[in-house]
Amino acid sequence: MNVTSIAPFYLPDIPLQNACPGQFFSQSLGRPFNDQAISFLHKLSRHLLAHSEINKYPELVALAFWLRKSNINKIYRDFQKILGENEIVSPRGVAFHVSPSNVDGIFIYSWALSLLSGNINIIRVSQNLSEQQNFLFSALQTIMQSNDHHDIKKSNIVLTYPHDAEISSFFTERSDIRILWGGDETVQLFRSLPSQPTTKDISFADKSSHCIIDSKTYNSVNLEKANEIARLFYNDAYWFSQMACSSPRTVYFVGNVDECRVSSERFWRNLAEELQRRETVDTMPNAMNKFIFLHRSVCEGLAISSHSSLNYNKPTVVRVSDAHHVNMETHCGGGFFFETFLEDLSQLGPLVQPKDQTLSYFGFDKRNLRNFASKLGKRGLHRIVPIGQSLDFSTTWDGYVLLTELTQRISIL
Amino acid sequence: MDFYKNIFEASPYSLNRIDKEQFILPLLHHLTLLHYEQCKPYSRLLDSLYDIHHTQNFASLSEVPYFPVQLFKTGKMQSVRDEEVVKTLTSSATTSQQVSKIALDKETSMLQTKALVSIITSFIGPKRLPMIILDSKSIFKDRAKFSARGAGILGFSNFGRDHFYALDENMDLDLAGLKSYIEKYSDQTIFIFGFTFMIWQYFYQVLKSSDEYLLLNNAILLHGGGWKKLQENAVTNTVFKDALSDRSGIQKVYNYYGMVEQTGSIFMECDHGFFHAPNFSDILIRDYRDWSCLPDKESGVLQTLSVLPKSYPGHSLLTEDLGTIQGVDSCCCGRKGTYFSIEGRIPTAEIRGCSDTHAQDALISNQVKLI
Repeated sequence: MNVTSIAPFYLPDIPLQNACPGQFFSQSLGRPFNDQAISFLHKLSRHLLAHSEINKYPELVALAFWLRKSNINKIYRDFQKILGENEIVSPRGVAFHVSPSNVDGIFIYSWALSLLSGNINIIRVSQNLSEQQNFLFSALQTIMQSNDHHDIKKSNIVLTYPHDAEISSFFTERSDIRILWGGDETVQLFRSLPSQPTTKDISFADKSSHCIIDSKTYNSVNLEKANEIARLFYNDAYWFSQMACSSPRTVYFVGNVDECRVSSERFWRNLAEELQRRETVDTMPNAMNKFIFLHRSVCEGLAISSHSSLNYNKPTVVRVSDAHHVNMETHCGGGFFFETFLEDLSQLGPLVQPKDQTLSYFGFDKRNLRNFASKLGKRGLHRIVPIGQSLDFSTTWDGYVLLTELTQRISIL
Repeated sequence: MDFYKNIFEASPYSLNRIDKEQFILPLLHHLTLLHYEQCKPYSRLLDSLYDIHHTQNFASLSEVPYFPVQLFKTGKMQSVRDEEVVKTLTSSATTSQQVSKIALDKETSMLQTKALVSIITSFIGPKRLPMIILDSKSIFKDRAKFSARGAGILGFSNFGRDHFYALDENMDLDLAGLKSYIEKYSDQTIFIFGFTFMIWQYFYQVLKSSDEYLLLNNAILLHGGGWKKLQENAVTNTVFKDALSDRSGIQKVYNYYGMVEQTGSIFMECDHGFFHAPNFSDILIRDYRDWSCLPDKESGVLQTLSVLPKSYPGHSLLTEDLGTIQGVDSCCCGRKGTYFSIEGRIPTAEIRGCSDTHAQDALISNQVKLI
């Protein structure tokens, strides 16, 4: 049973026992939010931002900003607020992270929180690393190998190995918490592996996300604001080729039919212009996947009222009266959107699906949104955020208050 | 029915551009309406994505509705009642878990056979030749899985007699048996059939590693199935032909391009290295940027049209392959109609997402096309 260690050191094809010897799991844990951990993340942030290469990856710029000391301290303060007066917080123990193959860096957020919690961390990344991941890991190696972070170097390992139940079981058996990114199948697979009775799972299952726009408000904004909205929506949808759980797939326009028509027309035209400004076009596989997805959806019975022509430099937009019937699991990404016209916000309620995660909005006030959300019951949705913030990581994710999950509390009465 | 009466009587490459269009456009229109009536998923496509209700006929091939061949994997694309299905062809499942299912009724099956006969006899003559199959008989053991490979072998074995399967169930080459078969028919033309990759791997490589030479100078080899695996090892068509000629003496090597979704109307490679559309099928090349048709000499996504599929809506399909129309009616080999080249598969999209094991089978797959 061999694995390849990626960080702190790159060591290809070494025996599992060497990568994670027995004492790895039994070493002492850190104190939550210890200075070492905070300064480590801050250094990582500075190191990432110091490289001009990072400008190619806006999602990593966002990550680097999130890792800064000022932000981490804010997270700490917010966390302290939810601790009971009689509680002290301690680490949970050994955390095993399974990262998704291609949403570069998303698992860094949950790992950073686990590091801050004082846990020992094993991070399994996929065999094929993206450019972004290589960039991230080389930064991680540099910081981990510096002399200032001996404890972190000792208690954190990033590794990879081909899918192998035996190796995975070795880790899951020794874990106090498993953080499983990678969608339904990965979650099910790892949850079926042996664990301790007290092992806790944080499971990030398949999710999809949407956007809602108040047509009247949108129609009245000036050109500058409309372009700004296009820019924000572009970031939400295109940063991960629309394949992240938080990337919007359906846009709901709210208003009377005429208002909706006008805003839809304006919204997609502006987005097309934004694509042009950013020089974003479909590659051949992208275009092909969109073509297949459109035909497959219709073939499977999705009733569509209209659709844009399939053009490599424009978003693909399919109007449906009922987004219910969209088979989101087969969504192709790459800028393929459904749109639906609603008369008012309350009509969205019945359309919300259990797998819905983020709803980004423009033109609604928070009070209305709270009122809307309070009636959802267990139907779906974890986040309702202003347009442009779909991909912003939050310490509450998919319903998990992550720091609460990653730590344990001792109450003293 | 009358439409199809005379189509197999002439040489399969007899129609020039104008005659061909006059011949196949009404047939394709007829098929479009037929499948619209008979196949629910197909009618949904037409209702939502096309406006065919007012057309009496198509003005050009580019107007014929088409859809991605992948849909045969995910939907029941069938235009006859289950009782009428005499044979279901499936694509061979390789990396992809979903397989295409093609339902054939008696008539479509017969049309396919006739088309294949018309094409193949124009290359090897009308007489049944002694035949070597560079594959294993064991492929037929599991009749429940009537795979494209098995269907291909069965289909082509009609053109030969005294069939000799050169590979055993372990895919080992029966060299002694092969040699005595060649000896037996040393004064005749032998017809050899196999799949491109298998021929390379289990025939040529074995001859090479055991340093054997065969005397098949008089043979005709027909092969198909795709180049994906060979391309990975930088084996081009030229390398393939030269290597086979060197070890086995075979001079006449014909590649064909075809797919299980359009069995029968295969595209044969001529002596000048171009694939030819026979009278009953044609191709278009589409631009992925806006799905318009590309002019000759420009590479794009290959769409294939065939008048044979009556029991399933496979008369106009977008493939996963890249091709280029090299010309019409003007190939030096003398065959009329469209001739083209294939540049290989569309590159697979990198799937970025939170989900790394997401079933993307219905999207571009790595499935190897046989027959």
